[in-house]
Amino acid sequence: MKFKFIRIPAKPSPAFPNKYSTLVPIIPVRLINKAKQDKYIDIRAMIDSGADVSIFPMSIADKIELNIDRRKIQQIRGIEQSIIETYRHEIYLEIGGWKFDTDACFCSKDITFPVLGRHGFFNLFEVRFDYEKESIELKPKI
Amino acid sequence: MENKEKAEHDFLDLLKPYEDMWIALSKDNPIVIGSAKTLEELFNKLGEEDYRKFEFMKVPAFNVCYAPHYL
Repeated sequence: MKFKFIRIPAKPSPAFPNKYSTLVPIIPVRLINKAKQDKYIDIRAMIDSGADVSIFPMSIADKIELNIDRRKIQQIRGIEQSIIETYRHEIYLEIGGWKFDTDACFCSKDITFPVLGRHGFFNLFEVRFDYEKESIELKPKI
Repeated sequence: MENKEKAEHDFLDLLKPYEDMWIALSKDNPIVIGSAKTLEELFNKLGEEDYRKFEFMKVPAFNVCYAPHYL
């Protein structure tokens, strides 16, 4: 499966005075409730190899009627050291028409961006970035 | 302008008004159907509309760079 990086606007800074846009590895995915497969949502998420797990806002879990088990808590520390609480839940993750049995963590706080992390995404694919060609290639491992 | 470049240019223009917001995109055309500061607010704005018709995206802030992050 091949995707393109998305080019988004950027504001120049003293460090990067000529930067008016930037490329980000954001791809379209579908999160599906395993118990009610007509409950799904299409969302664009950022591929983030620095993230241990995939993380999405709790409002998505609510929307697709996931029965979140609050005992399956996982604390997560961001780069700025603050800790957030997330809850792990099994989902189907559909990408490019392929459906994978995996899981993700759902966070009550409004996260900066939905991310596809090492557990839940990178364990499913061989991921290849070519920044110059602005391409992202995913090869399923199964 | 090449089609690819035009599509990118269009997407850049499309996102400009929505810095740091959640948006609902039409699946047929690159059109923003709704926007809000949080995803929950956006769902509320869409009301009874079938959310499965749309694709949701958080538009990043344009004045910062991103590192592995959650908040």
